[in-house]
Amino acid sequence: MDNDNQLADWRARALRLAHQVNSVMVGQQRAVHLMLIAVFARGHVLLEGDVGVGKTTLLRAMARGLGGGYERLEGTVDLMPSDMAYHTFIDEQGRPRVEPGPVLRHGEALATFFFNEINRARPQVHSLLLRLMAERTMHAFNREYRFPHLLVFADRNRIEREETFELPAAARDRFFMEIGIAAPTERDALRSLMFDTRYHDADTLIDQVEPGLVDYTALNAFSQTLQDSVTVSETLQNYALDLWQVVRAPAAHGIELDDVDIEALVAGGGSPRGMSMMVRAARVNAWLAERDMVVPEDIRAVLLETTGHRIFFNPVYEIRRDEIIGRLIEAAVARVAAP
Amino acid sequence: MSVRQRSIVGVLSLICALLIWGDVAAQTRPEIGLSIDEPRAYGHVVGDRVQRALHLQLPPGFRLERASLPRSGEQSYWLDLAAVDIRTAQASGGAVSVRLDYQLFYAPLQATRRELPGLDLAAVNTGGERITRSVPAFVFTMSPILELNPDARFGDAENDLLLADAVPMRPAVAGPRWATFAGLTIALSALLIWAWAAGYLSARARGPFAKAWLSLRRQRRAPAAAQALRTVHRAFDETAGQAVFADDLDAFIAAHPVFADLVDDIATFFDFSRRYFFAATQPADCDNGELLAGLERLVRRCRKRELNA
Repeated sequence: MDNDNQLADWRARALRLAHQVNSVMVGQQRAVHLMLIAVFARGHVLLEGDVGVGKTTLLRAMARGLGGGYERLEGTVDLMPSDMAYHTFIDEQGRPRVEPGPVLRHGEALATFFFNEINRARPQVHSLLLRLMAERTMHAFNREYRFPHLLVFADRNRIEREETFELPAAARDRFFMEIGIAAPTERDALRSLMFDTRYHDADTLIDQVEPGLVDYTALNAFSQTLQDSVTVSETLQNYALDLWQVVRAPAAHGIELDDVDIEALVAGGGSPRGMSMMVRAARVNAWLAERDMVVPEDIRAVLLETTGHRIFFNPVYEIRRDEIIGRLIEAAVARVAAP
Repeated sequence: MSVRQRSIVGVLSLICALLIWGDVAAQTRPEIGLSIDEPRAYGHVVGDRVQRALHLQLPPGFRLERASLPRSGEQSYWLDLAAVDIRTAQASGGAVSVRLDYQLFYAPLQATRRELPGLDLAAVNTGGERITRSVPAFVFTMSPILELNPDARFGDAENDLLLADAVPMRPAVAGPRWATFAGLTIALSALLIWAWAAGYLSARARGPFAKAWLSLRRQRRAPAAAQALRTVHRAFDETAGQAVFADDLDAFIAAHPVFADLVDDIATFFDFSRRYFFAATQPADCDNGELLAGLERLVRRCRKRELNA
C-alpha cells in the first residue's frame, strides 16, 4: 500500500512536471513524454532536431523541474577532453588559473549535462563523455569525481556533414533513447510561436516551471522501486522478443518497405542492452499511464526511440535512416500480434 | 516209392529248399520298401506341374541317403524339378515320403510320350552298410495347346482363332442401383444443408469473424481461455490488416464503422484480454466455459456486422 502511495505520489509530480514543460513548449508533447520516461528510467538521451526547434529550452525547462546542477557544453572541432574537466583562464593578477570545468563545477549535484552538437567534437571528447555516461565518474585534480544523479543529454547536428565526427555504433548504443524533435506542424502552434510574445523570451518562459518539482536526489532509488513494481508478463516478453527479431531481420519475417531492398537493409545492431532499455522504458510508460503491468502499447510507444538508433543499416540506406527507420518500426509493430 | 516218385519228391524238396533259402536270404538281406503315387499319365500340357510321391519303408537302423535324391533345379531343357520335399513320419519307424515336384516346359506339336527320369535311392546304416532301390522312370503323354482352326461351317471368320469367352451371367442390379443413387443423393443433400447451416457455403465463411466463430465452436469441447482470446484477437488483427491492441480501438472503429455499435463490448473484451495476458495476477472471474460463451456471442455479432459490411 505504501508502495502504491509512493508510486501515485511520484506519478502526480511527474505529470505536473510534464504539464508545466508542455505549457512552456509548444507542440512537443511526445518529446516531453519521452524525456520524462528517460528521466525516470535514468537513461541518457541523444536529441536530434533542426536548429531552433527548442531543444535547449526543453532541456532547461526539464532541468529546472528536476533541480540540481545544469551544465551545457558546445561541441567544437577544437574542444579537448580536458576542457570538460578544467576551466583555464588568466586571473585579475595576470596569473594562469585552473578551476573545475563545466562537468566538475557542481560536484555531485550535477543532474543535467547538455552536450550540444556532439558530432562537432572529436572522438577523444566522445570517449570521455561516454565514460561519464557509463560510469558517472570523471578523474580530475588527482581524484575521482562521482555524479550519481547525472543524466546526459546530447544533441546532434543533422544539417552539416563537414567538420563533424559521426558517433560510432558503440557510442550510439550507450544512449538510452534517441529522440527526434521536430518543429510543430499545426498552424495554431506555429502562429502562437510566431506572434505570442510570451514565447519570445526563453528565460522568463522557463521561470514559469516550478523549480525542483521532482527531487533529483531521490530519483535513482525511486526508479528502482518503479522498475520492481511494474509487471512484465510472459506473454509480453514473447511479444517484445518477436518484435525485436522482426526489427533485426525484417526480410526473414516478410516485412516489405517501398523503395527499399529489405534483404540488404539491416547490416547489424540490436544489442541486448537495447532490449533491456526498451523494457525499462516500457515500464516507466506503463507507470505514467497508471498501470502496474506493461502492455504491448507501452513497448510500441518507446520502440522507435529506444531501438531505432541501435539498428544499423547498410551504407546505401544509412543516409536515408530517418525516413526508413520509422517505416521499418511501424511495419514491425503492425506485423507482430499479441497476445 | 518208385524212382519216378523219388525224383518228384527230390525236385519238390529242391524247390522247397530253394524257396526257403530264398526266403531266408530275403530276411537276412535288408531292403527298402517302395510304393509310388504316380500322377496321371496323359493330358499334360506345357507349364503343368507333375508330382511323384515316393513312399519308402526303410529297414530298421537305416536312413535315407539324401545325396541319392535328385537336386531341385533344371533337369533337362524341358524339365525342371521345382522342389524335393522329404517327410519323415515320427510315429512309423522308417517310413519316409519323398515328393518330387516337376514342372514341364515341353511344348509338343502333337501328343508325345515323355518320361520323368528314374532314380536309384540309397539308404545307409551306422555300420556303413548301403542298400539301394531303383525307382522306375515314369512315362506319360504331353498334349499340344494349339488353337482350334477357324471353321467356316460354324460361322468362324478367317482370323477367329480362339473361341470367344463365355459371357458371364449378369446379376440384376437395377434395384440396388436405384437404392444406391437415392441414398447418395440424400446423403449429399444432407451434407449440403448442414454445410449451408454451419456457414461453410456463404461468403461468411471467408470473413475473419466467421472463421473465428467456427474456431470457437470447435473449442467448445475443451474451452481454454488463452486460446479463445487469441482466436478473437486474430479476427480483429485480420480485419484491420495489422496487430490491434486496446489503445487502437478508436482507430479500428473509425476504419471499420460497421462495428461502431459494439464498441463497448469490444472494449470490454480488450480490457479483459489485457488483464488476462499482461497482469501479474489473472482475473478471478474467469470460468473458461462462460468466457468462451461470451466470446462466441461477441464474435457472432461481429460476424453479422462483417456480413453487412
